[in-house]
Formats: sequence, C-alpha cells, structure tokens
Amino acid sequence: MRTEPQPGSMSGSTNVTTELKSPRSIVWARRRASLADFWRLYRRQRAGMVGLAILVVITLLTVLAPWYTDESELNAANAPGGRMESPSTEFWFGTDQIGRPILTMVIWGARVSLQVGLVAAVLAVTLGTVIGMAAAHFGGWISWALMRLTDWFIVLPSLVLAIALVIALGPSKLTIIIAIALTSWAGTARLVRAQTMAIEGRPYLERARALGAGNWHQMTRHVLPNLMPLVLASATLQVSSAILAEASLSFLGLGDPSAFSWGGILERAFDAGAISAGAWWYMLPPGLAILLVVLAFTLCGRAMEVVLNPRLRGNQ
Amino acid sequence: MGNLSTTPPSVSPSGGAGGGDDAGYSAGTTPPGGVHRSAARRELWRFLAGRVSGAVVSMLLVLLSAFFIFRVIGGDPVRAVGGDSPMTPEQRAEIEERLGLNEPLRVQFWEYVKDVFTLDWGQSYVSSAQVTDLMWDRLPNTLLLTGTALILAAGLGVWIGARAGWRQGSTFEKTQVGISLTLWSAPTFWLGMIVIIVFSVRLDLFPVNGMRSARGGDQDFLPDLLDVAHHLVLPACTMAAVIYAQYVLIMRSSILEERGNDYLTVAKAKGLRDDVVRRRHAVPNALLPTVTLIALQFGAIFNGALLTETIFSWPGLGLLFYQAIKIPDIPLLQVLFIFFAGTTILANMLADIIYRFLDPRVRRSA
Amino acid sequence: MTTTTPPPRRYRRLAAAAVALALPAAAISVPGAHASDDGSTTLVVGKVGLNDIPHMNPLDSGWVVQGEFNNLMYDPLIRWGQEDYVPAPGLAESWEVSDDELTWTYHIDPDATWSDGQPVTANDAKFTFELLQTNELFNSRHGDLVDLMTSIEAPDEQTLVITTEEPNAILNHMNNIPIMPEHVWGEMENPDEYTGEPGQPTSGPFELAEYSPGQRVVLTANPDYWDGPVAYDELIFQSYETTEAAVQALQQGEIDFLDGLNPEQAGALEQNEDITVSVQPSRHLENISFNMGARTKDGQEFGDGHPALQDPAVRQAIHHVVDKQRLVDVILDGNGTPGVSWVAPIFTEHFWDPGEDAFEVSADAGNQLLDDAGYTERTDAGIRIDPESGEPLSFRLFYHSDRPTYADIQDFLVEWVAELDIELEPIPMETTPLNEETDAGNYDIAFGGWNYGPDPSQDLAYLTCDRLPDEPEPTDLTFDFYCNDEVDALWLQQLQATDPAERAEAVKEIQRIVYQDSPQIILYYDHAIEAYSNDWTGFGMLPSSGGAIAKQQAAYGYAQAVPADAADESSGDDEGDAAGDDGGAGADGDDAAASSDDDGGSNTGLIVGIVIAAVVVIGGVVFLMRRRSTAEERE
Repeated sequence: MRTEPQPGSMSGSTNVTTELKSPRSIVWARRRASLADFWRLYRRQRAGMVGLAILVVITLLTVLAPWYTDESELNAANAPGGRMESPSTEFWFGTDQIGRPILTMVIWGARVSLQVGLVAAVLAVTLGTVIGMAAAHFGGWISWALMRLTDWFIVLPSLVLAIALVIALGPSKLTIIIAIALTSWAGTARLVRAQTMAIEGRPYLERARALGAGNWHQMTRHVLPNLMPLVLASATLQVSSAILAEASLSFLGLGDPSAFSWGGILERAFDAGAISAGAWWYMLPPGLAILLVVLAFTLCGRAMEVVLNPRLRGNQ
Repeated sequence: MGNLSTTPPSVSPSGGAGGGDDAGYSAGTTPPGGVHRSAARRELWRFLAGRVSGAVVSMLLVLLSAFFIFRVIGGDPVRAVGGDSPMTPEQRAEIEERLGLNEPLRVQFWEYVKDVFTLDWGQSYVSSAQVTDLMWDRLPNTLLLTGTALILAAGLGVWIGARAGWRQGSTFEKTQVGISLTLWSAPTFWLGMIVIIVFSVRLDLFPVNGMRSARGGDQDFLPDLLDVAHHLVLPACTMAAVIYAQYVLIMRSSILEERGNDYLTVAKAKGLRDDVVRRRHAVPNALLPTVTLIALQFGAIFNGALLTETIFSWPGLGLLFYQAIKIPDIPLLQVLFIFFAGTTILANMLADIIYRFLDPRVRRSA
Repeated sequence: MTTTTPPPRRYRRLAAAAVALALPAAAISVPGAHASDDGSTTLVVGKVGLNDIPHMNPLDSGWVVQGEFNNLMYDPLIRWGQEDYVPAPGLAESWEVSDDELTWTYHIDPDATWSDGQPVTANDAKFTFELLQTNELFNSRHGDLVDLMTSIEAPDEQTLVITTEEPNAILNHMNNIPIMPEHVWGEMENPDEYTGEPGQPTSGPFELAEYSPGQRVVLTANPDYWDGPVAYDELIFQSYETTEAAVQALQQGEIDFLDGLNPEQAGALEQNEDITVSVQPSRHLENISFNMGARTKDGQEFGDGHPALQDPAVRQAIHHVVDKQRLVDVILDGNGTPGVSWVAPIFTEHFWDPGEDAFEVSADAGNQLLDDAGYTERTDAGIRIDPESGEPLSFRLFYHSDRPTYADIQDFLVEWVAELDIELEPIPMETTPLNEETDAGNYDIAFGGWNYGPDPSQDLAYLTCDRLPDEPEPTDLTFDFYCNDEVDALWLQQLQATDPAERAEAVKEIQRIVYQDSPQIILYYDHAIEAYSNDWTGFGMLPSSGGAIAKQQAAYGYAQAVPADAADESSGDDEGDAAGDDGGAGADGDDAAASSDDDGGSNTGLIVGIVIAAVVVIGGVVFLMRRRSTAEERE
C-alpha cells in the first residue's frame, strides 16, 4: 500500500513542466488550480485578509523576537526595571512587580500561547478527522460506538474536563496541549462524519469501490482530499478556541509557571495585585494580544468557510 | 464544535445542529417517496427511541466516567480535610478511613455504583454535608447569573443577528459582526478584570465580589433583592458579553439561509413590506435552528459560568466546582460533573426532538 | 447589495434604551448600610481561604483559620501572652509546678463563666483533657500534650492537678488548647461529629451565630464575657475567593479588616485615607531545603537525593551565595527580614541572632569551601564533580507551580548557584505531587514555607532523629531527614526545661547548629501586611511590640478592636438611606418583605423568578416599542 505524498512536497517533487502528465500529476495540477482558485476567492474576503495580515505580523514579531528583545530580561535576577513602573519611553508597557518589562513578557509569551494553540488545534482536528471518517466509513457498531464517544465529549463541560486532566497530569505545556486537544476534537468529528457520508455517496467513490479500492485507498485518495478544505477551516477556528482555552487554564493557575504565556502573565498580574494597584499596563497588553490573535484566527477561519460554501458568499 | 471557552464562531450554522444525524438511524436518508402514514409514524418512533436511547447511553457513560475522572486527579483530599498543620500517620489513616479512601478501587467503585442507583451521592469530604444539599444551595445562584446572562445575550443577540442577516453587506451588519467577534475573542476572565477595574475600582459603581454585601445580614426581601441585583450587574454583563457573539452569528446565518427560500420571494411578490416579511416569515423560521443550537451549546455556558463565577466570586456551581477541584473533593466533583453533563445531554435530546417536531422541512419530508 | 444607512432615529432609540437599562443600576448603587438597623456595630473581616475549613469543631482544627475562631470562642487555660509570647493567665489565673517538676497545679479563675451563665470549673478542663485522650480523632490532633498526662484530677471546682512521668515544658503553656463545657459536651454522643452549632455556650468573648460553609462565619459578642466584653456587637468573617477581590471590598467599605496583602495591594490601600495599612513581622518564613539523604531510623536508605548534598560543605557553599537581603528587597519590596533559622524574630525570647557567625554573601567564600572539600574536578560544561560518587553537582530544584513568588526566587537561585559551578534544574510541580516526592525523599532541593511556633518543642521536633521513619516509607514529619545527636540532646533538654531561661538557651543553641549545618536555608521571614478601615482602631498585635493582627494563636487581634467613634451612634444616616431604597423601588415588595423577615438568606429563588420576569417584561416592552415604531415608519 502506498502512502500519499504530503501536500507540502508537491511543489518541489512533481514536475510541473512535463507535457506528458502522469495521472498523478494531473491530480496535482488540478489541486493546484483549485488552490489558486481558493486564494483568488479568499483574497476578496476583506475580513479574512485583515486576519491574515495580523497573523503574518504577529508571526514575524514572534519569530524575530530574539533579534530585537533580550530574553534574559525575563529572568528575575536580570530584571532591568523598578517595581511596577508605569509605561515610559524605556519600558513602553511598564514593568511587573520584579521589574521585568511587560512588553518583553508579552512578546515572548506569544511563543508559548501560539505554540500551544497551534499544536493543540492540529491534534484536535487530526483526532476529530480520523474518528469522524472512521465513524462514517465503517458504519455498524464501530460507527455507533464512535458516535457515542463523540457525543459524550460534546456534552461534557470541556473546561471542567480540561481542568481535571491538567491536574491529573501535572502542569506543563504538553499537558495543556493534551487536555485541550482531548476536549475539543468532538465537534470536528461530527462535522467530518457528516461530510464524509456525503462524499462517499458520490458516484466516483462508488466506482472506486467497484474497482476494488480498499478502505485506506478510498479514504486517503478520495475522501480526505475532498475533506481537506473543511478540515483546514475547522482547524483555523480551533486554534482560536485553543488559545483561549490555554489562557483560561493558565489563568486558573494550571499553566507552566516558568513560561510566560499570555494567560500566565494575566495570572501573575492578578496575583500581584495589579487590579488594586491600578496597573492597567500589566493587564491590558497580554489580554489584547490574546484578543487580537484569537480574532485574527477567527476571521481567517470564517473567510475560509465562506470561500468553501458559495451559499454564504451572498451576492457580492 | 465543542471547545473550552465558547463555540468558535463558525459562519455556517451546519455544525450538526438539528442535522439529526446519528447512528442507528439517519435523518439524512429520508424514506423513498410515497410514504404511508404508518411508515412515517414508525419512523418517528424509531427516531424518538434512537434519541432517548442515545441520551441514556451518554448518561451511563457520564456516570461511569465521573467515578474515574476525578480519581486520577491524584490530589490529596486527606491533606485538605486535615488542615495546614502537619499530620501524624495515625491522623492520616484515620481520615482515610473516614473518607473511605483506604478501600481498594474496586470496592470504592462498587460502592459508587450502589450509591448511584440509590441516588445517594454521599458527603462532601470537606464540609461533611450531603453533596446534593451543597449543590441545591448553589443552584439558584447559578441559575440567576446564567439565566440573566443568557436572556440578555440571546435576546439581544437574536435581535441584532436577525437584522444583520437581513441586511447582508450593510455597514450595520459588518459592524455588528465585528463587535460580536471581538467580544467572542476576549478571554472571559480578562474581560472580568477589565470590567472590575473600570466599574468598581475607578468608578466605584458596583461591588466586585459575591452576591450579597457582607454587612447585609438578614435583610428584608426588597433590600435583599436590590443588593443581589446590584451584585449581579457586572458578572451577568461580563458573561453575556462573552456568549453574546454566538447568538448574533447563528441568527445571522440562519436568516441568510432563509433568505434564499422561495416562500420569501412569494411573500415579497405579494407586496408585503420588507420588514414585515422579515418579522413574520424569515425570523420565525430562522429562530428554529437558532434555538436548537442554543440548547446544543449548553455545555459552553457552564464554561462561561465557571470562569465568571470564579473571577467575581459568585457563589454558584461554577465556583463550587472550582473550589472542589483544588482539594479534590471527589464526591462533590462527581455530583457536579454528573449534573453539568446530564443537563447538557437532556437539553440536547430535547432540542433534537423539538426540532424534529417543529421544523416544517423535516416534517414535510417525514 | 448596497449599503443602507439606518434611519438616525433608531440610534436615538437605542441610546434611550441604554439609559433606561442603566437607570435601575444607578438607583441601586447606593453603598450598603454600615451599621445594622438596630444601631449595633459589626466588625467585618475579609477572609481568603475560609472555604478550606471543613467544620467548626474546636477540638479537631487543622487550619489556621479554624484556630482563629477557636481563640475567639473558647479560652484556653493558659494564653500566649501578648508581650513576647510569655505564657499568661487564661481560664487558669495561676499555676505552679512541684519541686520534682512532675506535678502541675492550675487554679481556675473563679470569675470565669460560660456564656450560658454556668461557671467554668476544673471539671471542664479535666473532661476536655480526658476527651482528648480517649477520642481517637481528637487524640490524633492533641496527643502530644494530653498523652503526657498520667493523671488528671480536679480536687475542687477551682483546682486542676496534672501529673506527668517526665518533666515537660509544654505544661507551662498548654499549647493554647481550648476547654469545652462539660455540661454540654458531656451530653454529646459523638463529639467528633460536632461541626459547629450556633448558640453553644462559650467561655471566650464570642459565640457562634452563623456558619455558612465557604461563605461566612458570624460571631456575636458575649456581653457578659467574664474577662471583659469586646467593644462591639458582632464579628463577621466574609469569605473571599482572592485577596484582590477582598482589597476591592475594603476599598468600597464592604469590609473593615483584611490580612494577607502583597506589597502592591498595600501600596494601593495606603493611597486611601480611610484605610490604615499595618506592616509587621510575622511568624511565617520561606525556605529551600536539601535532601539530607532519606533513610529510616536503622539507616536503610531510600529516595533518590543527590549524595553530594549530604556534605555540609556543599550546602554551606550554597548558603554563601544566597543573598537574602536582595530577595527581601526584590521579592518582598523590603517587607521582610533575611532568614536565619526556624524561629522567627518576633519570638524574641527564643530567636537566635547569628551576628558575626552569619554566612557572608560571597561566591569566593563558597568556592573556597568547595575547593577545600575536594570538589575540584569539573565536567566539560564546567560543572563541579562530586569526587565520591563521580556525579556532577547538578541538582533538581522543585518549586510549587501555583506560587509565582517561588518561580521568581528560583531565577535568582539558579543564577547565584551557577557562580559556584553548580547547576540547578528548576522543576515546577503541583503542590500535592511535590509533597509526595519530598515525603518519599525523591528530590534534591525543594521550596517550602512554614508558620513557626510558638511552641519550640513541636516545630523543632522535625529536626530530631526520632522523626526518621521506621520503614522506608514517605513521611512529612521530618525536615529533610535531618538527624544530629547534638540537636537531639538539646531538643530533649529544652523539652524538659521547666525554667524558661534554660529552655531559651537550648532552643537558641539548636538554631545555631542548624544554621551552620544548613540542612535548610531560611530565605526570609515575610512581614504580615494587613489593612483596616479607619472606622476601627485598637486591633491587638501579637506580640504587642509589633506583630500580626490576624492568624494569631490568641484572640487579641479582633477582640481588642474598638469602633473609632465608639460614642457616636452613627446609624441615623444609614437608616435614612435604607428607607430611601425601600420607597424608591415601589410598594409591592412589602408583602414579600413581611413574609421573609426571618430568613433573608432564602430569597434567592424568589429573586431568580423576579429577575427573569423583569427581563421578560423589559423584553416585551422593547418588542412593543419596536412594533409601534415600525408602524410609524410604515406611514
């Protein structure tokens, strides 16, 4: 059984210039065309473009952080400022109770928050996709059992479950990722199941089955590619909720205390008495950062959905 | 899409809501044409049986998992009962025995199963009161907070969402969608902190903590009502702000879906005014999926309640849960967990059934 | 689709609706009345952690907060004196020990009465101690005192005679154990199931009036308190989930007193001219502790501690680089004193001041110590190697993930210790697993906090060899498996020293040895930061020369509080406000008010209904307005 080349490898390995196209390269050419099509439609979504722009800027700021900030300032022993200084030209967003610049904390916090959000979302969506596809494809008691499991996860108060999981596994970045992924895959599974059933009803899949295609072949060659756009849109939206979830868990004191995630900074601010001290500079930047990133991912995800569902496009 | 804070604001309302697809039967596969009445009725009963049995199975799973989830937390309830002074091994053993923690897990599970069937949920480790009493004590407080927030958010959200959807592409729509998405993107606890700083610390308009003022004592009804209402304003508004978005967005999408339908064109062709068409025809039909989704997202409301109650120290079930998990007070956690999940299961089941009975399209096809 | 601008009137209407919604909020934003309608005075104390306490059984209290309640309701035979913790008369007006130091005689104060009028007698004390001896639950808490008593006699109402087999200093202060009324507790079938019942007779300044678990505790003053009643009528402990929320409540006048503040909160409250902030030394300390080699009494080793930490040179070297003053300045904003040993400086009788013996903060001195002890080899990374085990000096440092302070201190420690070419690997953990690991000896260095004393025997016992476990099993009864014969001898000496001066000498000597040996490094004693409304004054500090008001082992803090304007019956205005509220909000609530006079707490159900109804009505009105306005538009 062959495995499908990963989408990432397509532009490099498949030879675009060959005139004599193998069936496979035809498939890829078609997919590339639909990707271009997708981008053309996506570009028209103003909100989606704004979201994308925000994400690009934030990603750049995060990746380039070591070149324009000094991470060692986050070490309590090296804190450059005084206690809870209000914003100044030296410290744009002031300092915390140890003298660390809030701005540096927020910039480095982006790494943790984005990392947790992205990884958790990818995990959740992968899990949801696999289970959803399996439930749709196999039918019978497997489907029944998987859907019961899915329903169970959907009705569970997810924050409650995530808190329990984090406490059980001990607080760390990894734990939080697992807890978030485990509590948020179910929605995707439901969505994927419905979509898979629709796709499997299509004639070409019946033909493939008639030609003796195995389960794996059907799934990876026919169903998954058709699901991909939906899954991607779902993943994008999932990132925003994962970032919010990470913030909530960190704020409840379940985060990794040595890492400055945005939720963790807010927890520190709260503990340090920032509300009483009126230290708005301690609370506003991390909160706004969360808001901005979550909003950006949401805008992108929604724009993708609109592109994928012509009915939602309206008469523009 | 279930997730931690609230449902991500997906554009399409087709997240399985009222889609009624489930194992054992499939609403998607409508029977072939020329259905007899009896066949339709059989179909209906199958549907009901499927839904109810699904809920029952989910509930059994919840009952089962409630036992295990909180035992893996691995906290030290003995320490919580024993206090912050050091304990001798004898003390420890004595408390373990009192809490039944010295029994093997098998025996504890058996006890749990027996208790579940006799509806005896046990005593809280910490306060040694019946956990159900603790829960019923706090339930009205949670209902007050979530109910107020829900009515505020859903009422305003549906209203705004309907207008936004009706006028797709207008500045009004864009602004309203923008506002909703921004509110949705704000972390609940952060919004709470900001609200506290502005309205309590700076403006000194509202109290920040709890439900009644400490000095109140036993008050007459009216002052008590005012006191509670005064305390309610900030948490209810914070919670409403966070869950508000989903109602706007869902209602907006539902209206969008309705707009394409023939009956609206017919209604317009009859010469009815635009807003009358919207109010009399589009909104009632669009409300259906919206109401269903509201029921489906019951779980998300508990998440909001947990965070809001924690930040405002509102003495409800969310705060009770948060306090219990720090210990961990296993019997209390179990009963709260079962209550949260059970309510959601029930709400989902009812929503599905009601949807089936009310939706003209589903009725038509059956 | 083209953009349509909504008619401007719609926005006006929205604004009007917003104002309408805001109005009731403004109307009810009148601050709550400060005194009850009947003119009684109430001291409201904000408490974080009130929901920790499982019950109000005075003989089974493991929480500091529970202890506070006990002190307010039940007097002990002997109190911790407000000056320097010197034992002072409580229910016993005097006591003496026989020449052989084995028989103690206590004379009960003839004035002492229970709040129901019955006299407090020696039989009550005898009953209480015997209950503590026989009841399993209570004995597990108080065994260290009552198990010493070989006989407890009450030859008459006023005289209690206790004999012991060995001399014991603890009988000189009785550890603040509350005495229970025999005429009530004697009738109880299961005294260990008592969870706190309002109206029980007490011997202290207060009686329990209400106990709402996790929410509040209300105590009413006993006007006939035998030792002189307090200057107000009621004391409420209101639960707060976080100190931050309680600070706001103090700012808004909801509460009168609050403890457990951090420097930022103190700074904010100092801005408020109606509030006084009190910063005083406390008995709390923070420390890091070294795994001294977990082992049983027989020397069977267990756990996975780094062997090099059993070498005093390594611990002392680390002690040399810990700049305690810097931690006090940065972490506490100066609100503390650098740590020495287990006894906090407020216990002036017992505190040992190192003076010239103090570890000099110097990496050179530390490095010298290590070089001399033979830690000269280094790894490729430049980390010193333990010559005996061949292991590099790389230690795990466990800290509590829910304590951001530790996360900050840990940064400093890593940096300082690195100057010795020793590596620290900080590992955050939840409190429970962290305790499990340290109890089992699976750690190198761990953070910890402690409330010392006031009885030296109890706390210093953690340093004795006797506390090593019998079996290789986890234990939380020892400080890092420390065992030192010299300390053991001194501990026994102070335990049996019925002469306070002799006892103090031994206690100081223990501290000196432990400080030098450094099984733990006490980082600092943090000050208690407390704040109170200027409507109140006279809060009693323990010790009176400067100490905390809350969390005492005595009732002084709250009991000595006095309303600042005690003579003035300041309830008139407030009553007016309350009446205004009633009138303004309409008359239809009167019936309901009359019917629920007795229990204000159970109104919630009704309120839920009314709020829902109100929202529905408002919604209906808005809907009707909408209809009417669209009708207008149509014409």
